[in-house]
Amino acid sequence: MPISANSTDEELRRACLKGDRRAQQALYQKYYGKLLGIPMRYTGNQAEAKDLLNQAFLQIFRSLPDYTDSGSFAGWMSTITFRVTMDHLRMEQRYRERYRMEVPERTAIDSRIEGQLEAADIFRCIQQLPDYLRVVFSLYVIDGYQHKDIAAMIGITTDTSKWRLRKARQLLQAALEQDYLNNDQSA
Amino acid sequence: MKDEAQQPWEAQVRRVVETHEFDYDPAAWAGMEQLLDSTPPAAGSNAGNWWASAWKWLLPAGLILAGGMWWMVNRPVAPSLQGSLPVSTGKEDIQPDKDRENDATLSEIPERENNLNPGITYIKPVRTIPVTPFRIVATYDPGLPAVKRVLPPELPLLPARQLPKVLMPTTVKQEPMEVGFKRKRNRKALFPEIFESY
Repeated sequence: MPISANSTDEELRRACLKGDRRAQQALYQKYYGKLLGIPMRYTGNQAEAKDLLNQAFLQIFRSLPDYTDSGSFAGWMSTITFRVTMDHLRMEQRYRERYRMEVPERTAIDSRIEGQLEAADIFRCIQQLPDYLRVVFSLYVIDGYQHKDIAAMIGITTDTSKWRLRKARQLLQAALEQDYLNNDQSA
Repeated sequence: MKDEAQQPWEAQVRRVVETHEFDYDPAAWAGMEQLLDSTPPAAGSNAGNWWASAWKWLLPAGLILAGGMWWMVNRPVAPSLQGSLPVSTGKEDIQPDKDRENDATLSEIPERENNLNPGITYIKPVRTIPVTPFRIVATYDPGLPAVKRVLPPELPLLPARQLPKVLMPTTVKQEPMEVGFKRKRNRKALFPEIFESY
């Protein structure tokens, strides 16, 4: 049976271990869409996210001999993609900047737009956040890390992490509401 | 920590972000392929074998080990030792050496005065230590006539001679104590054998 994106993970993994380029392409095609979301929510633009995804796939192909069947293959690849993204964030100074910005205080998002949020809009609004706020928001809200873990991961203090989360929430609420209003008016 | 509790819209953001799947971009594979080609070594058939990546270290180590063993086996031997290596039968006896029974013992060392440090006297040891020289004499087992025995050549023993006189300081001159009293020591009780010899 020829190797394709419809092949099972085990078939793709075995073929990739032999250095089969078609199998590597099939694995890349199969998990491209699922894994791209990880760098997309941490970086400011799609090109940077795609570069990071390619770096992650390179690491995946190299680490295939080390994979054990203890967990799911998709989860193992997600972990590698997340680590590659985090390494990139640590190396980039702009994610550690500490300048402060004035953000209007908000308590809750407009209830009308709850349930109306679409993935493309959410990713666009997340990517509009300043780098140093987006990282903390994604780590805390989406990936579920605690402030002390976030502080250790990106080299900031726990209080700074809390402050950045608060500001990121306020900015994202404003961005989502504005995005909703723009779509509403255009419709 | 009311401010940090996840709000409903955040839960929705999380759910959407985690489950969303982007469309595949065929152009993205071109960049990935370039990356794979420019970054050797890519994952290959040998990547799963630990020894495949370790052969660079194992091969030199094996060569060094083999060379060392070859040198140990073939190292040059001094001409005086060639052909005279002893072959042990496991039945060598230890017998007293009759020729050296008259060697001096420590008890024969005379007492003498120390000229360099007057007041310090070297005395002979109070206990005589008999020294019986031994030498290893190989015996042949008549039951094994077929075994060729290679024994070292019989070396002549050195002539008997007096052992060098060893002066053993046993007493040290006592310095007067600086404290106001002087402890009385019972020398007879401490050194009864010395007093008895005098």
